[in-house]
Amino acid sequence: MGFYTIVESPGLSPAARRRARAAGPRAVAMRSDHHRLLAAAGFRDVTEIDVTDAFAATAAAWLAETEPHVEELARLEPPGAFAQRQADRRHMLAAIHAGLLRRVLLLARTDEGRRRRGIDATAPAFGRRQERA
Amino acid sequence: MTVRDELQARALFQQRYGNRPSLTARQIEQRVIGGDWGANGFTTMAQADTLAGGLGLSAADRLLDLGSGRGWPGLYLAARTGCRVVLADLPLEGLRVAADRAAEEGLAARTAVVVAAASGLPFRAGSFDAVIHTDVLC
Repeated sequence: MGFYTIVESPGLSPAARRRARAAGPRAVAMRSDHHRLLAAAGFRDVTEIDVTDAFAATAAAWLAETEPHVEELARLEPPGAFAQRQADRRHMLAAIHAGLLRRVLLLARTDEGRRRRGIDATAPAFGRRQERA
Repeated sequence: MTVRDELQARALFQQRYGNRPSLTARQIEQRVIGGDWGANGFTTMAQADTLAGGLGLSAADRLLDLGSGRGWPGLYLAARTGCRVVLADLPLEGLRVAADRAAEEGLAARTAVVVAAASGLPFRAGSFDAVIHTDVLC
């Protein structure tokens, strides 16, 4: 399994967590964390790659590229939807720059997945680690 | 997510996917994430490639893309790696666009689309070699 997801940064104060949750997508407010959920679902070989720098760049690029075409793009969506998304993007970008939000790629395998890939069952799991991509 | 939230989200995406992206929108998407799949999330072409590499996707694999929208990045990964792909999402309009794109790209024989929620997938265990979702939990 592999997925990109946005999470709140670790070690935030309660007030900062509230700001992160307000600025991020709804799932940022999840009560558990992805590593626990993956473990509960039988995944034990988990890699986490931090892609927050790319997240900030992409969020900024969406704003910069769409701003000159606001009127045209807004006509393609329900009334107010585009304006709301632009506001959400600005809010999210500010939260990224404030260190409140991160984006990560999570890769995980089950024992069955390891067998299918021909990975030795005794090989150590690569476990939780931080990388940059 | 409440049932009301889910219905609102589904209605929004149905309307969005029902509108064909304009030339301007496709050009913007190309500049921001490197593709023209009608996506507006944060997964770039380079990140889709990283995902394929991390999962070790190959032509022998069966891939499930949850919340696939108009087919990004599941269809792209099928084209790039040769894998078979099932695209699953709730808005039928996005899956229609994805199915058309699969036909245009010569991927129809390796592509299936399914209207299904991730919380109740109509597949037996072990049906897939890899499962992905991008910009779904966001």
